[in-house]
Amino acid sequence: MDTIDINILFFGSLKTYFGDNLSMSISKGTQLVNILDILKQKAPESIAELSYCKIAVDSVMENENYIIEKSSEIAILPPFSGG
Amino acid sequence: MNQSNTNLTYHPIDIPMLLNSLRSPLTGGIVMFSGEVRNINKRKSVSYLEYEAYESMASAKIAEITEYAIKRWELNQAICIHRLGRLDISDCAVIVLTASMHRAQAYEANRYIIDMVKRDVPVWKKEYFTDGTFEWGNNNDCKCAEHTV
Repeated sequence: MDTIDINILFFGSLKTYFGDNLSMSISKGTQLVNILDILKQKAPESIAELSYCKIAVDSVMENENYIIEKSSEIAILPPFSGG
Repeated sequence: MNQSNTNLTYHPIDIPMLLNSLRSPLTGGIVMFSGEVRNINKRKSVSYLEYEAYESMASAKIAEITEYAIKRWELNQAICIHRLGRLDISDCAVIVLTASMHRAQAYEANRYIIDMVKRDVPVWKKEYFTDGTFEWGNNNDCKCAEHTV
């Protein structure tokens, strides 16, 4: 199966668990929900915060069912608090 | 930071310069909102703040919001700039300026822009308190469900 490289960006409190970013190789066709599962396994203490996050793929908001077909920048976005 | 991100800055916002830049013979009213760093939050004494952003997306989203407001309210101009990095008490964290022929449009558009920025722009606030603790903010209090771009 083809593999692709993704770079996951973390912001706000999520940096506590994952740092600024995480690069990994995944199978082409992996869904975002699978990425979240990997993150939850890496840092179980982040599960509650991840449940409130939105996800952007190459700066476009996508839902958990989105299928990753190419190398992408995936941003995990906690609730915003600007302004 | 991407130098093209003119609506995000790590430097203090020059409010008089921005205000003057909006003056024009066609403009009858300019409305300004300045979101400022308060010294107290949730009954805790705030020392300073740090803001971070998903910069490419935040910049594009601010541009999208202001461009939409310009069209919807037929503004002459609109500017929105958000600070990033460390901010001290009373610093301007975000500025919204709207200029139009008549004041009503400038007021409505200004409120819309700041509400949408708080709701939709990926920026995060970290508050440092005088007791040495810190907390990531969650101050998104925009309840304006009818505001959709």
